[in-house]
Amino acid sequence: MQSWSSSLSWLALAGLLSQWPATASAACPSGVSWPDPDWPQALAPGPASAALDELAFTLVGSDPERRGPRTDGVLVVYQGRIVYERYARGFDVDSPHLTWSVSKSMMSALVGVAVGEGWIDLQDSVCDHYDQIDECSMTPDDLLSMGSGLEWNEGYEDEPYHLSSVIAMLYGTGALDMGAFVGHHPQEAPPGTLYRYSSGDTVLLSAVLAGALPSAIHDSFPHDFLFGPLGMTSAVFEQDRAGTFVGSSYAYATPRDMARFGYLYLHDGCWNDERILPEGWVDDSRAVNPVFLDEASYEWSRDGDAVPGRQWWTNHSVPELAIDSVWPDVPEDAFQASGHWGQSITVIPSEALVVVRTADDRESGVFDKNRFLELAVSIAHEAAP
Amino acid sequence: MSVPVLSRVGALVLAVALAAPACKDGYDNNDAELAVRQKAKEMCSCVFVMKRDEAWCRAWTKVTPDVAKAEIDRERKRVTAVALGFYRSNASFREGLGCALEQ
Repeated sequence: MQSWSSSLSWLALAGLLSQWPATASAACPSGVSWPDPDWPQALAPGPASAALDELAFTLVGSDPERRGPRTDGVLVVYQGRIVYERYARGFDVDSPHLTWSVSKSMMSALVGVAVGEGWIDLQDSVCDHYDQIDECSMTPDDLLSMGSGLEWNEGYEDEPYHLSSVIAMLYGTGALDMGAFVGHHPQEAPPGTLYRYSSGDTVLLSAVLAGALPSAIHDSFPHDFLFGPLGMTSAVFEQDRAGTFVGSSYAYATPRDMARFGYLYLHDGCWNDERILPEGWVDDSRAVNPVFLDEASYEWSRDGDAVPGRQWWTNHSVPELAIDSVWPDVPEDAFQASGHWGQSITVIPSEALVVVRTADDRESGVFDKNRFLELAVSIAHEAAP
Repeated sequence: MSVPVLSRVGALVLAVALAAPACKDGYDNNDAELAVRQKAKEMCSCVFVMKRDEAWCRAWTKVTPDVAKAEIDRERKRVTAVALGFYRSNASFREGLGCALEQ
């Protein structure tokens, strides 16, 4: 009797387990058109496309002057088809572009993959995986939220080089081992209590992730577990000499491959009906960053910044802090991977849209992102059957 | 991140050396040193990762004042940048891992 009961329990458990993969894949959206082997093109020339041409591709000065918006590429993917695509300034469909801080969103995806594989838990101590951090109460979760509490100066262009933590990390005393450089910064606030936009936090997250991965797959991890499955054949994530992927700044890809990354997030972290990112990961990335909601953090936010998600930006308003949507004419569910000089991947789930821009806008603040995204939505509406 | 404008010519004077890492009081790098390191790294990535042509990359990595000059070794996939005959830096390319400063 006892053994029967025991066998039945085992059978029941086996039944549950056998359903598990089916349940997980059922959570992925169905009926999606995937870009296999490449995006189908269904350009929608019309008034909105013409307006986008003019907004994004009108140069106002000579190249050495570097004035005004200087777009290198724009791609609009609506319902899995390219409805707008244009390149300029010597770039074309095959040119990988430096993405700067768009890399942060890619690094967070890599962390998501590792969480899904069970290699890292967001509530672990960072010291479980990496020994170059002084504050062991810090967690990967704190770093995802840019809430390390480490002292950090993200500014660079408007002050002497040697004061910038980012410059020191990428080129200066920190460049050979960026993770250790960040990890030994003084603690300014307890982890998880203060949001501050920090390239250091993302690099430290990358170093912690590297320590959590099985060592045999470390160097090939971005390619084998993210870029490869998505078909991002142009993508490269650069490492420093200590073997840390420079998660803050140094991922490269073509706009079409950047759109693949956006398309992963448009579909809740699924690709070809397989789950790449754990369930809930995308929603957590695009929700308002919980650490940002602390009042002291808000005082630290920079003029013109959107409301942060976690290694992403969002178009959310935050009424309790009197913050409006940063792109008022764009649906509030829009979220964006955004990098220096105008790089961006914007995902707008309510419009089935992914919008990519590569650029070299060294003169900051010259490009009207709200109008740009509004026009991308209009192009989609003009393309809609 | 950027290829920023050098803040001042006087930056060629060594910045005060501090125990790194530090933040509020600055880091132990002077601006010319940072400029050659930046030049070596970004030229390397421009040529070997982004695969742009050399003239384009020279324009792309230009800062003001443009003190750092870069030499490209295509065979070894390595870039050496020099400024003022004294400051020197190397970055090299590894397949799949991009460019990084060597020292």
